[in-house]
Amino acid sequence: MKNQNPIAEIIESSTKSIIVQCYELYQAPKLGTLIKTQDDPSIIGIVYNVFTEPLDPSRRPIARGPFQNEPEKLYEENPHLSLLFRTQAQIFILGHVDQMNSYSYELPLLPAKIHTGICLLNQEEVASFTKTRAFLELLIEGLDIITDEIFSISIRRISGYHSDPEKFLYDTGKDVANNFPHDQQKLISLLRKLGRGPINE
Amino acid sequence: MSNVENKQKIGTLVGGSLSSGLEIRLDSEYSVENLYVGDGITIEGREKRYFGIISDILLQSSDSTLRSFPPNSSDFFVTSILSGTSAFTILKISLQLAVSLDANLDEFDQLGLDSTSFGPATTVPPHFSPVYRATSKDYTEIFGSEDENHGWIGTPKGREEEVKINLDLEQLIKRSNGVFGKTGTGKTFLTRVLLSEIINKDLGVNLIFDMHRDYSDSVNDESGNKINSLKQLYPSKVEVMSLGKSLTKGQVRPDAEIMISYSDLEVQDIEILSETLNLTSAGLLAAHALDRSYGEKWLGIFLNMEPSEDKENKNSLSAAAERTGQLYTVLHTLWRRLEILKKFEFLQQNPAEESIRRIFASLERGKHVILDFGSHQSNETAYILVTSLITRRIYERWAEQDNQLIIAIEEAHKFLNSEVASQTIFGTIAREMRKWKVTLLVVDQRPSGIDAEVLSQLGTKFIHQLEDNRDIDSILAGSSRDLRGVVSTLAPKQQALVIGHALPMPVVIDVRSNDTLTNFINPETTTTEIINIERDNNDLFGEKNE
Repeated sequence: MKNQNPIAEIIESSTKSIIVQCYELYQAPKLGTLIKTQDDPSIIGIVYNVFTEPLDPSRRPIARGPFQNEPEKLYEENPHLSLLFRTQAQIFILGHVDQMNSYSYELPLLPAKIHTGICLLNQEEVASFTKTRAFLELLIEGLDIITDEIFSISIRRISGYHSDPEKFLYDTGKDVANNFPHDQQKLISLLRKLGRGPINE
Repeated sequence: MSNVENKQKIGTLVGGSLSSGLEIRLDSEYSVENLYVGDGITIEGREKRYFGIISDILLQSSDSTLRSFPPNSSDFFVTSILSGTSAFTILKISLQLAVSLDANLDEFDQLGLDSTSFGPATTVPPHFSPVYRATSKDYTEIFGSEDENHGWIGTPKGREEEVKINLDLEQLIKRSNGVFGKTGTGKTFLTRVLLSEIINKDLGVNLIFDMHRDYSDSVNDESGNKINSLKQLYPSKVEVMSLGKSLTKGQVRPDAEIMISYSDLEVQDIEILSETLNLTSAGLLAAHALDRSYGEKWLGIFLNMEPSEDKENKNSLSAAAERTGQLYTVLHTLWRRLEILKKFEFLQQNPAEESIRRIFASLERGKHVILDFGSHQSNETAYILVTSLITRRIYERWAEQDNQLIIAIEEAHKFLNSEVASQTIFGTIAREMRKWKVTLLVVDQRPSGIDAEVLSQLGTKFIHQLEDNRDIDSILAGSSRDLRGVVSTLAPKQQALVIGHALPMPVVIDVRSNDTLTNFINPETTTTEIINIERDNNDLFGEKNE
């Protein structure tokens, strides 16, 4: 689990969610990306929010004026700016690797340690973790936190890692529908978002 | 149990009751369009296996807002996902039979023993029991295999597999039975299959009153295919007798011509004609008075009277009125309305041969008799009169016989309507059931016209498509209300719901036909056997016009 290079480090941790700070400013995993902690047991989650803020919350940035059309140039001319900000990502936990070294789609009994590194799941790992629809259980439970939009982006992104993305979306849609017996309008809205098709990158 | 193989799970039991039917939620993977009302299903309970038929199919949704705000039908992704999940199909099941699930059934199967004992379902399976579409093996377990007592009458509706519905003919003929359906639905075709099976298996002897020459001579079906008559199929077992002079056309020559003496006609034979001939109650009372006054030959004498008011003339109606104490006008009206009988050349004062004795002798020898109405075919008056008369005479003499007699009559509501059923011989036979070893096979298009008590006594009913609600209500009186939906979804032709005594549970069949035969050939059957089967089949149903 520690062979891959970490892209961020845990700075806040609970058994339901994690906040990581990215090692590179603005180099965060994209929304809906599956990540894992370089911990033992390894915790698996999905990126549901990315934000950048000043290191010192009491010193808010100020606008540099309308003449600044090229932000990259600004950072080159003012290298200290990169040190004043940090990019963070919020991770919603979907499961962990259990003692038998197989995926468990339950919350970890203890949170990950602060300063633990996180890295992206590779294609095989994504396909393997989402092989059964059990991964949906915690994702659907967390809909209030992660929002419908992030939910559908996550599923569409995951579908791109499967051999038949359209079928994956359809089958997942069926499972999602079974979980919304009494809120059909929310379900229809969710399915419309899923119907936009796989996200391939 | 081995039956689990090839089974296709279609849904899960979610509710309902034994009396009003069980409710099955259809699995989202299974297309509702592959199922139909009348289809057979099995339910695996914890201790028993259950058999039932689909009585209705409902589309429901888990949330009422789906009805008010359905998704856009052009959004295939959304509609296809919702279909089978939030919007789902409920099957209403009429539960019929149950059999114990035994862990050792496989051993029984291997030993070739009958491990199952079906009984009526008196309880229901527990919640969430899996539901399967009935397989060919299920049908065979329920309806048995074709043997000396079981005759093949058709295939379960819509099934193309090697599934045969076999009727217990021995049980069938012990009670009166009925074939019903509106005109053109295949009543005669199914009746021919039933009669043919009874003849083929030598289980009883048939007396068939063939009003329309459907059974005595070959006919062409609507596609122009020639269908052989029972006489052509079983020349040594069947005798055709013609009422009066036989028709010269046709391929079958009658074995005898039937002549009837006026003295054979009794007042009750005239009473049955009251509706057809528009006879009044006063007229019928006058007929009784004539019978008392002139004896058994009253009708012949009466019809030969002169319609005159001359009291001096002893052969006048006026003299008869005085002798019997009836009004002249009543006798005159009766005379005029019965005058039509004089046109029937088969009615004679002194026929050379006692034809009814001839029919009885043939039946006694085990020959099946078809009474062909010859030139009187489709003549309602002749049919009612002769059928009633001959049946009464045969019935009176049949008490000593061992062989079961089946009397097939068409237009049964003429003999069995509420007004006359209590007086006619047919009402008596239908009510007495097997007491005298005489039963009826009634064929009719208007079951609501038949007396309710008579209908309730019918052992097995073969119900083709009916449109009139009164007909459906009367035919299903006493049966599960669920079957109403089944009747209303029958195909216009060659499809029937069969309910009653001769089979363990109701079933909708596609009546056996030429086209279905090839599907039933056993893979191990040799080429020679196939040729023989096809030849037999062509003999029975006629050769197909390619």
